[in-house]
Amino acid sequence: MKFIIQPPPFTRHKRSTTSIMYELSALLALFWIAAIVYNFTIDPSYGLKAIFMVVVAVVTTLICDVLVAAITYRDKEKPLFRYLFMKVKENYSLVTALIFALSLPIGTPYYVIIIGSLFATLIVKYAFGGFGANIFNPALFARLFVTFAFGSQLTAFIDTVPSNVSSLTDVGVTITTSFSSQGVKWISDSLAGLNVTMGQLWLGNYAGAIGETFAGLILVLGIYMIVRKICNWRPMVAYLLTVILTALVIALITGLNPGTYILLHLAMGGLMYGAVFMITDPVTSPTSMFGKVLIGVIAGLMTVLIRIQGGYPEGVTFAIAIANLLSPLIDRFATGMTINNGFKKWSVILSVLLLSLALNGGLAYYNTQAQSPQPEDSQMVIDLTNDLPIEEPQNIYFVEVATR
Amino acid sequence: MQASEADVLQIDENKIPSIFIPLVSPNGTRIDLFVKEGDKVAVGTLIGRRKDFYVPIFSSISGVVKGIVSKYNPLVGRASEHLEIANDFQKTRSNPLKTISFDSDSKDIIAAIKEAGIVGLGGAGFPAYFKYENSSNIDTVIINGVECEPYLSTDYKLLQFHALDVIKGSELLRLAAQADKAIIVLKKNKTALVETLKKHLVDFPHVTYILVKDIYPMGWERLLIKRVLNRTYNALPKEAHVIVNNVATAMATGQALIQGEPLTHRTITVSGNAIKQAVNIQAPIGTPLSLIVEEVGGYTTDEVVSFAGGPMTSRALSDDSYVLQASMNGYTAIKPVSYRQVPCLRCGACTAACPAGIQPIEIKLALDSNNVDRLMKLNVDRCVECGICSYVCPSFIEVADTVIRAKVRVRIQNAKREISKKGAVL
Repeated sequence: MKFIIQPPPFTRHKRSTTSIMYELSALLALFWIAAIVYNFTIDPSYGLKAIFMVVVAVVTTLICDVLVAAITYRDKEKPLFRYLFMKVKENYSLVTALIFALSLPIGTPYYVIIIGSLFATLIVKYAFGGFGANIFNPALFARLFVTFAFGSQLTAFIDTVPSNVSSLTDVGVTITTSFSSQGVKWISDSLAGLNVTMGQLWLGNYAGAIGETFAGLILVLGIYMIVRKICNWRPMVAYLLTVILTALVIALITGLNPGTYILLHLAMGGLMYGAVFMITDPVTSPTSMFGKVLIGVIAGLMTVLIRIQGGYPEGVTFAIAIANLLSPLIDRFATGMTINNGFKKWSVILSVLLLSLALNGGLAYYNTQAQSPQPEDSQMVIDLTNDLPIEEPQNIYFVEVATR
Repeated sequence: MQASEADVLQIDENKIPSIFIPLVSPNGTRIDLFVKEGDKVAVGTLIGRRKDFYVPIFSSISGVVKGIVSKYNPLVGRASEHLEIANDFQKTRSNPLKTISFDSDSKDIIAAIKEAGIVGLGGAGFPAYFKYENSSNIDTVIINGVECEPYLSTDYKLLQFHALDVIKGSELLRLAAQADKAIIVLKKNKTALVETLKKHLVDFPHVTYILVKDIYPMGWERLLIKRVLNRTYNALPKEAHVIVNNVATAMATGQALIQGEPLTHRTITVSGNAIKQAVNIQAPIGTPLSLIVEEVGGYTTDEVVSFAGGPMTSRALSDDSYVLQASMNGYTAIKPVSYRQVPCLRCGACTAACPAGIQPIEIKLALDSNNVDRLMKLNVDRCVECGICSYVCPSFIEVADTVIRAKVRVRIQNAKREISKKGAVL
């Protein structure tokens, strides 16, 4: 009889990090299948591209993992292969690769995917110490990186535009870009110039990034993730609620249809994708529950602010990157604030929310007042030019085109 | 393996050659002996008394005092002296206690509790009379039958088979505290007990029962008072006009004061997946646990992790030769499981689960970076060592262990600062 000493408790909860991460991978794979099916309905070459984009990203990150694990191999006691296997298994790069690849549009060249995956794994993740120590979400930061570095190559079409793509405005222009460039930026509740319907926006059968267009499916997956406790509900719900409330205020101030405007905000520009898969990343969130709500509210504020005022068509990635950046600060601020300090916590959250409503609402009102075309003048311009309608100079947006 | 819902087994006392009564109380004070080698004792004979508090100790079997031996005592944490009493298998009884009726006044009841040597049987082993002597303005006595740790079911069994004793004890404790009501707190899933309790509670209008959620650590005094009465307090429950006692304490009070029987036997849950047959078993206090384990069929594996109590808070012990004490409520032996630790993913599950409202993972990070100032800001001293942070951790990090170490660290730092402030030389 041998009595073994271990620290208490002697029973543990079944939910492990490994099970969380691989269940999330399975969900993303399901999502990938939806993307493949949709792309096959456009054209077989699109479907194959959707398959290989993800395969390339996954293989690249796994190779990076193996390389880093091999470099850091010090413990000569353990067999090398077992060490490599455990290292790769416990860095959960599969999730990073899937989230990154599914956020890219179908026309992205393979070398861009490879460079992005290398950046995500080697720079954003391993340079800071691997899983659990990275300060930015690797997939999100890699997405930002390829946007800046290879913006012109991130097109929604492979070579030529297939005839059966319904939602087409112009080659290389995403729905979000077209939407944000019509009239006053992001102050519109009409899909008239976009050739997509609200139903298409939520179902995802239009041209865009291979994964993040399926807003409705992402919402279902998000609810499933909350129920299964794969992610914390707080950042996701706080983020969505802030965007919804801010959009509601903007709609009321500028006289738009509130329902349509809110649905447009949620469906476009990968907002659902960011809310479900990126801001919920626990590694880059604060550890306190208060902090998890607060980054959601801050990201919501920044998203709408960049959308209506910033130079980019939409701001999900930037907003979430800013929220990630603030998490250590919020953790410091939230020290000792858990079951007490209720007033302090709620007043901070509510004041950030009110700031979002006031700032975004005020800017929206100002923009509509300042930029609304004088009826006589514009009428005159069109009269003078007769049948030549003035087009938005879309090439100016060429770099921004691919920004989600 | 959880203990079955079956009856409480009685250990065969003829198989116990001798029992060992610890002569050092849990807080480390010695016990005055009233017997010497060769004396004959019966069940219930007064054999000693604690030096610091007035707590008489009674023999739990009849036999002959053999002498003093050294044995490991888990409540003290080291080997200590035990009085060995050899069994003569006669089961002669002596009832040294006076009985008392329900119309006695508070002082008499407290004196009777004192004479009966009732200690808190929920785990602390603190003398019960002390709480009653030193509190005033008590309006509620809470009888804690929540038993929130997994595996354990002794409180449930006591309520099932000794409901009347528990209720009588609760009434006496209520009278002792001069409180308006006594509330027996049960878990919601123990619906079978409600009928039994209702049947007996008819005669006791001041004793009621209440059902609470089945969560861990519901049995923790602070959380229990918060949930039952929605009151909070700083240091002791008496600030909230409440006294909390365990069901086993109430039962012991009832038996001692109404029937005149001192506490000589203890019901204990013997369970775990390394125990052949998980049961609730009643044994004389002082029986070596190895004998009890043998009685229920022994272990199923060669390697076990064993501990006295439930799996959340108890410390693993390196043998099973220590003896059953009044405040032990379980003996658990499980097959060793090693968890592979992975990096923290900052999910915050420990912070969300912590009943004391502290941030275990932030404490771990602060301790790892040796930042004592931050540890103090994080209120480490509020930790109650319930172990829930390690339980929920999906990365299998030993968070609870780290927080306990952080507590020690802060205590040392505080002591150092105290010394430097006073200018004392260490």
